[in-house]
Amino acid sequence: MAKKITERYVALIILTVFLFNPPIMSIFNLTELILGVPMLFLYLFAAWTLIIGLNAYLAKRLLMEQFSVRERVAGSDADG
Amino acid sequence: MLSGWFIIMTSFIYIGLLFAIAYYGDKRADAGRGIINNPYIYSLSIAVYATSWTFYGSVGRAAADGLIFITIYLGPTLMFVAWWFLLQKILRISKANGITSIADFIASRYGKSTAIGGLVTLIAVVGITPYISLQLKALSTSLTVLLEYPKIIMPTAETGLPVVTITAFIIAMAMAAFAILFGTRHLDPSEHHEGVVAAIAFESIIKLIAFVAVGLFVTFGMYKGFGDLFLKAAAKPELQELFAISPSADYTQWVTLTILSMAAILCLPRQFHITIVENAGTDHLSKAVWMFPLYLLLINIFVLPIAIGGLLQFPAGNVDPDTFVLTLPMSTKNEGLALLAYIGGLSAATGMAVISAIALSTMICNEVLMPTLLRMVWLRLNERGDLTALVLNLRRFSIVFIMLLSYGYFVFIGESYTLVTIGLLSFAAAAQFAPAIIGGIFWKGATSQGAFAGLGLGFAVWIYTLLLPSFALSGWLPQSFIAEGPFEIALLKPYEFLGLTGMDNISHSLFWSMVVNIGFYIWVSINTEQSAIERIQAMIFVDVDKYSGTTGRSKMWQGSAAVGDLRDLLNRFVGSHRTEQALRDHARIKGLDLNDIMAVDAEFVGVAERLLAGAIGSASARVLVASVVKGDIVSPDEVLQILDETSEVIEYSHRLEQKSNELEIASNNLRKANEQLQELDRLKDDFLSTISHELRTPLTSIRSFGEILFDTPKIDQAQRKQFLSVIISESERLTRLINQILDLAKMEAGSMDWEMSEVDAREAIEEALVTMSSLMDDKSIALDLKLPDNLPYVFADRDRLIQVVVNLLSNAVKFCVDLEPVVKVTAEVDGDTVLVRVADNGPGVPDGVEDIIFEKFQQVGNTFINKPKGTGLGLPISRQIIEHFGGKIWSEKAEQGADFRFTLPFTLSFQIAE
Repeated sequence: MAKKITERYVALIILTVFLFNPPIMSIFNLTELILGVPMLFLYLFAAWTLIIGLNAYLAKRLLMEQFSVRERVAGSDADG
Repeated sequence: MLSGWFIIMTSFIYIGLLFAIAYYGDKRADAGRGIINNPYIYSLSIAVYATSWTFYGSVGRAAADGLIFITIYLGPTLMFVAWWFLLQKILRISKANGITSIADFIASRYGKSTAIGGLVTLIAVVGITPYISLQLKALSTSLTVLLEYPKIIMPTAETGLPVVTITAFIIAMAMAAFAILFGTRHLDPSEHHEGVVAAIAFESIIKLIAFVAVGLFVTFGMYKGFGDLFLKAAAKPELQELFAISPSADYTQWVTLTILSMAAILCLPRQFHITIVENAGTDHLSKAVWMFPLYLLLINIFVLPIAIGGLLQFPAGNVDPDTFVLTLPMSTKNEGLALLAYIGGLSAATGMAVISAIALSTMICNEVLMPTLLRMVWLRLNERGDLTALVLNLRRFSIVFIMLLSYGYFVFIGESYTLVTIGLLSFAAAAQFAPAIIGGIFWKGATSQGAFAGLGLGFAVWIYTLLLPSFALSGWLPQSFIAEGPFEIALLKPYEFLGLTGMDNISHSLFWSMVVNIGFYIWVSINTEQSAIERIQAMIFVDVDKYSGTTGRSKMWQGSAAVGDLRDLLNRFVGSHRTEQALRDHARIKGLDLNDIMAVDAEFVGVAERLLAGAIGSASARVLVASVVKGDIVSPDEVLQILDETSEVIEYSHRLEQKSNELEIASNNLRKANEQLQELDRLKDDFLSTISHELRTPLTSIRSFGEILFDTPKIDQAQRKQFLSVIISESERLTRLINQILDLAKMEAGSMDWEMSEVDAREAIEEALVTMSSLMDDKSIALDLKLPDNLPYVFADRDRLIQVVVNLLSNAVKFCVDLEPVVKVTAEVDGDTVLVRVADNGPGVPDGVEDIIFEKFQQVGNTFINKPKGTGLGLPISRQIIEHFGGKIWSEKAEQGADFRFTLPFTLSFQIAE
C-alpha cells in the first residue's frame, strides 16, 4: 500500500513541475482580466492551492500508513 | 504620533518581547513541557524562509517584472511536494547520526572529513553574510523612510541619518545577544533551542499579519477590491505588462529561479537548521509539507496588488518600489498600519538574522575551530577539565563575528545593490551544496575528493561570476572587470563567461557553477577510491532504512576504552548528568553493574562518539574519541562485513516477519473456513432430521392403512377404497417430496441441467394457468388476470419458470379459504425487469416470517391445520430458480391475503432492440 502512495507522490511531483513551468503556464500568460484579476495571477494561485491540497491529502495518507506499519513491526525492532 | 523616538522605542519593545517569548519557551522546555513540540510551531518556524526580502523585495520585484517573484516560493513548494524522497530521508539520516548543521551533514557523509566541513563552512559564511547584511539594509531603509514621516523621501547615501546607522547597529547587536542568550545557553547534543524556535514562530505570525494587513488595506481600503485595482492598472499599458511575465524577465529566468529556490529551501544553512536540526519529531514534517507552502501562498497573494497600488499611487517613480509596503500606508496617513508594516519587516529581518547566526556559528565552531584546536597538541586540550564552556564561548564569539561581518558588509557595500540581487547571490552560493547532498544520499560511490572538488570549484565559479562583479559594481574593483573582462580578455567576462550570452547574471552563474560543480563531483568521484570510513558513512547515509537503530554502526571501533577516560571526555563536552545516564543505560542493556565495568566495549565507544558528535560535530568527535580509545578503527573489510551481516540479519528478519504475517493470514482463513464447515454441518443435520420427519409422516400413514387392510380382510368395499385412496395420495405426496428434495439438492450443488433460452414470460404464465385451471375450477376460485400483450422476453429455463408460477399458484389455491376466493395474477414491466405478482385473499403470510417461508421445510400455519398442505419445499425451490435467472422473489406485505412477487431481468437482445 505504501508503495502505491509513493507512486502517487511521483505523479504529484510531475504534475507540479508541469503546472508551474512554461509550456502550460504560457497558455495563461496573457494580460486579460478574468473575474477582475489577471489571468496568470488567477491561474498560479489556483494551481498552487490545488497542489497544496493534494500534498496535504497524500501526506496524511502516508502518515496513516506509516503508523499502521509501525504498529505492526513494533516489538521486532526496538528503534522502530 | 509617529515621532522618531516612538518608532525606535517600539522597535526595542518588540525585540524585548522576543526575548520574553524565548525565555518563556526555554522555561517551558526545562520544565519538560516544551511548547514547540507540535507541527504548527514547526511549520511557522520554517517560514523563517520569508525574510525582509520577501517582505519588501517581492513587491519591488513585482513592480519591475510582474509575477516572476513568485518562483522564489514555488521552488520551496515543489521541494516540499517531493519531501518524501528528499527531506524525509535527510531528516532520518540526521536524526540517526546526530547531525548539527549542513556542514556536519556533508562532512559526515564524506567520511567525517574536516576539510569538507571547513569548505562548506567557508562557502556558507561567504555566501550568507551578504544575505544577513541585506536584512540590516532593509531594516535601515525602512527605518529611515518611516522616520521621515509625514514626508515620503527615499534614503540616499548622502541623506543617511546617523540615528539610523546607530539603530541598525544596536539591533544587529541585540540580535547577536539574542542568538547568544538563547542559542548558546547550554551544549545540547540534540541541538534544540526551544526558546529561539518559539520566538521565530511568533515572528512568522507577525510578519504574515502585517503583510496581509497592508495588502487588505491597499486592495480594499485604497481601492474597491481586486477588480477595481486591476481594472485601473489595466488602463495603463506599462502596468498591464505586469499582469503577465514581462518580456524583460523571460522563461529562462523563471526556470532558473525555481531551481534556485528549490535548492535554497534545502541548502540554506538556516533552513537546514530549522527544518532538520531543530525538528522535534519526524512526524511533524508530514504536516509542515503543506502548511509551510500554504503560509507562502498567503503571504504572496497581496504582493502584486501592493506593487500595482504603489505604482498607481506614486506614478512619478520617485518612490522605491521596495518600500511600497511602508510608503503606501504612510501616503494615506495611516500611521498605525505603517508602524505595523515596519514591525513586520523587523520580524522578517531579525528572525532570519538570528537563525542564520546560530546555524553559522555552530558550523564555524564544530567544523573549523574545534577540529583545529584539538589538533594543536601543544594546547593539551584533551587534558583540560570542562570544555563545554570553551565550545559555547567559541560559538558566542562566532555569532558576534558573523553579525559584525554582516554589519561591515552592509556599511561598505550594501547601498549599491537592490534587495533581490543580494538575496539571489546567497541562494546561488547555497545551491552549491545541493549536488553533494543529493548525490550523497542516493549515490554510494561519491567520494570525499569528488565532493571537495565539486564544492570548491563550483564555489570558485560563483565567486568569479557573481561575487567579484558585485564588488566591481560597488566600486571595489574597476568597472572594466565586468565590461571588458580581466586583462581585457573578452572570453573571461564574468557575466559572459566563455562567450555565453543571452542569460541574466544569476542564470549565467548558476549554469556555469553547476556545470563545474556537478561535473567535477561525478568525474572525480569516479576516478578516486573511498577510504574505509567513507564507505561506511556512504552505506549508513544511502541505506538509512537498513542501518538506523542497528548495532552495526557502533562497531566501528575495535578494542576498548577505559571507563574513566571516556567518562572524563564525555563529562567535558556533554556534562556529567548526560554522561552518567548514557553509562547507566549501557550497563543496563548489557546487564552489568556500573561499578564493575572497568573498560567499555566498542559498542559504547560508538554511543559516546554519537553523543559527542551531537555536541561538537562528527569530525571533532572522531578526533577526540580516537585519542582515548586503545585500538584502531576496524579494517574496512571487517566493518563492511559487519554491516553486510547486519543488513542480512535485518533482511532475514524482515522476511521472517513477512512469512509469519502470511501464516497468520492463512490460519485466519482456515479458521473461517472451518467455522463455515461447522455451520454447514449443523445445517445438514437440521435438514436431515427435518427431512426424515417429513418423509415419515406420509410413510406412517401408508403403513398404518396398509396394516389395517392386511389385518382386517373383511373390511367393506367402500372403506377399503377410501383407505387405498389415502395410500395412493400419500405415496404421491412422498414421490413429490423426494423429487423436490432431489431438485433442491441438484440446484444447491450446481449440477442442475438448465435449458436457458429466451422465453416469452406471458406464454409461460399462461401455460402455468392452464395446468392449474382444473384445480382452481374445483375450488371455484375466481381468477383476476392482467397480462399485457407486449411483455419482453426473459432469459430463463421455460419449464422451471412454469414450475415457479405453478408453485405460487398452488400455494395460493391451497391457502385460499375465503368465501369468495380470488387469485390475482399480473405481470408488468418494472425498470429493466418483468415483475410478476401472484396474490390471493386468504389468511396471508403472518408478520415477521416473510423471509423464513423461503427456507426449507418452513411451513406457516401448520399449527392451525392438522395436515400439512405442502411439502415446504416449493418456495425454497422457487427462490433457487428465480435467483438463478438473475431475479428476486419475495413476499410483499398486503392488506389482505398473500402477495408473492418475483422479477426477471429482460434479455439483452430486447434491451438493445428497444
